[in-house]
Amino acid sequence: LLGILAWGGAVSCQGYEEPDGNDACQEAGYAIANRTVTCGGDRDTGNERYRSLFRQYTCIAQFGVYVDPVDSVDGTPPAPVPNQIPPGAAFGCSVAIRQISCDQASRNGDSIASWLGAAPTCGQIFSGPGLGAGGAGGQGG
Amino acid sequence: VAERAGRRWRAGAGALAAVWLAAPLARADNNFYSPDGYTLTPGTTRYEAARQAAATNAQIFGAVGAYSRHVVPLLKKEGDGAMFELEYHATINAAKAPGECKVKLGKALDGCNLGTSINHLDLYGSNFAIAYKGGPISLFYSASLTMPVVIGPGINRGLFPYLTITGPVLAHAMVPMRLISKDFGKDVLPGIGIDAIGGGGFVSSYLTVNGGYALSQGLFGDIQVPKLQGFVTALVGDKFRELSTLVAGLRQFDYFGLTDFTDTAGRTTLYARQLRYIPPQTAATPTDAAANDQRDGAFNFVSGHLEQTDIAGYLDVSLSYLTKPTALLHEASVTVHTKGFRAQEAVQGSDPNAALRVGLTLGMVNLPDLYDFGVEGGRRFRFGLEIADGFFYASIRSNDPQTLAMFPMAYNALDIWAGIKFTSN
Repeated sequence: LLGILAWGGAVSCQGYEEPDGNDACQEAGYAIANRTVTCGGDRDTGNERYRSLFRQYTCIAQFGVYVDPVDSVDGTPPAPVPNQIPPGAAFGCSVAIRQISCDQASRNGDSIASWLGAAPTCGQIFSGPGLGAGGAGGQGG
Repeated sequence: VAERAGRRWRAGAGALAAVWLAAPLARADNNFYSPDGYTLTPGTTRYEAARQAAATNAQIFGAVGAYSRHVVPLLKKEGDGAMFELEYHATINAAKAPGECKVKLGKALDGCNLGTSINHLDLYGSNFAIAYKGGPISLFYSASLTMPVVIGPGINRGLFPYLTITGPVLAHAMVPMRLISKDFGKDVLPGIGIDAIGGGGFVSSYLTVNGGYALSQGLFGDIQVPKLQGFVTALVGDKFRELSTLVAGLRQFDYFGLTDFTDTAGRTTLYARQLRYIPPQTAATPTDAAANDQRDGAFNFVSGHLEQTDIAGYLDVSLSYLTKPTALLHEASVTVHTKGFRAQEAVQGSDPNAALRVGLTLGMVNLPDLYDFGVEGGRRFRFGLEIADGFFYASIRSNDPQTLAMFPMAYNALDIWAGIKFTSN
């Protein structure tokens, strides 16, 4: 009986979530915390930088609708919406942050704008001090 | 019955072979298996956390874990004896990460309207172990198969328990190949883990010293002092870096045999545990400069645990307090169960006529923020249902604190256990 219950629970439990823009922003925050720690900073500092990101910046990421290639062939692709970016590209900000050198991470310090300078995509998912439209303030590594 | 069991095994082996053959067409990446080729996005923190979860699964629910859960109790018992066990385990939602989902027949599946989904990672493991203790000598052997599976829109989770439950047989057969090639099988089923551990030691009523060699991890040692019911367990070896543990304290202390007292107040387990956490690292690839420019960022996860079990025969209370990385009440729970559940647990598998045992656990777990692992902290509801009858045991547990300690990247994890165990002395 327990096996059946367990099996049923596992099967019926949904194994995915549909992402929204906030997922891309959170992932960027995780990357800042993670790279802070893996470049020798302490965990409290990493956690504080994550919180600073959301205190200082607003998440503006909006995901574009996935354009099915088959639909495109049929001539019925959804019209692109301005300011929306493909979700895959939105996660590029976090990937870029995790790729910066430790020297750069050290120079970034507590300047969140500098962390968000790792890739132009970061300027597309956040708005706030030092971030212009389509670009970001600091330097990548 | 034997014929029916034989048919089941043949059907299971056939289904596994079918997946085995089809797998190259459906592989996700080298770290995870997914039947529809779903991926997690490499380079994100949660991807690396998921990769770490898969490695931890291979250690905890593989052959080394089987040794610690099943062989050690036999070695601690007085007198000669032998043990055989076969065990299945799944952790549902061990991690989650952004990833790619696919369209089928030109149509986006529900949940895949963006071409991207937050995919969950389930971990499966099965193992078996045999052990013998005669006079001052002990011998043991265990083999295991573990598999991380990326779940996404349209995937039926019910398939994998059936496939992975054949693991012990498969793993046992593949151990010789694993000796030749460390990555044997991974070209076919990405992320698959095949492991074995063998060893032996010296046993006395005052001190037991055991050592062994695990294919995946290298040498390890274990020292126990049965008379004092004390335990100090350390897992060592280069690759245990990601899961170095140190546990010390009293396990099921019976107050030196004061049965009148323990019948009412129960037995006490009191211990401190230190886990060494290493935040997800940037994956090493030849062109990846960041992977060569990082420190491990390791930190300690230190907790104190107090468990009073079989209070008046029917009740367990468990409390733990975390001192590092953040001081907080980590866990509080209560278990109501059939009489003498924990005492009988210690002799599970030795009495085919043992009474049916059932236990229900309710409580909460509190976790610190671990943004560097890609998870937020907070309180989670804890639930557990355990059942055992004769040689068979099974349980289902949500947010089990032991699981969350081993998988800090998990959020609302569900554990499923099932196994059989025979012990003689």
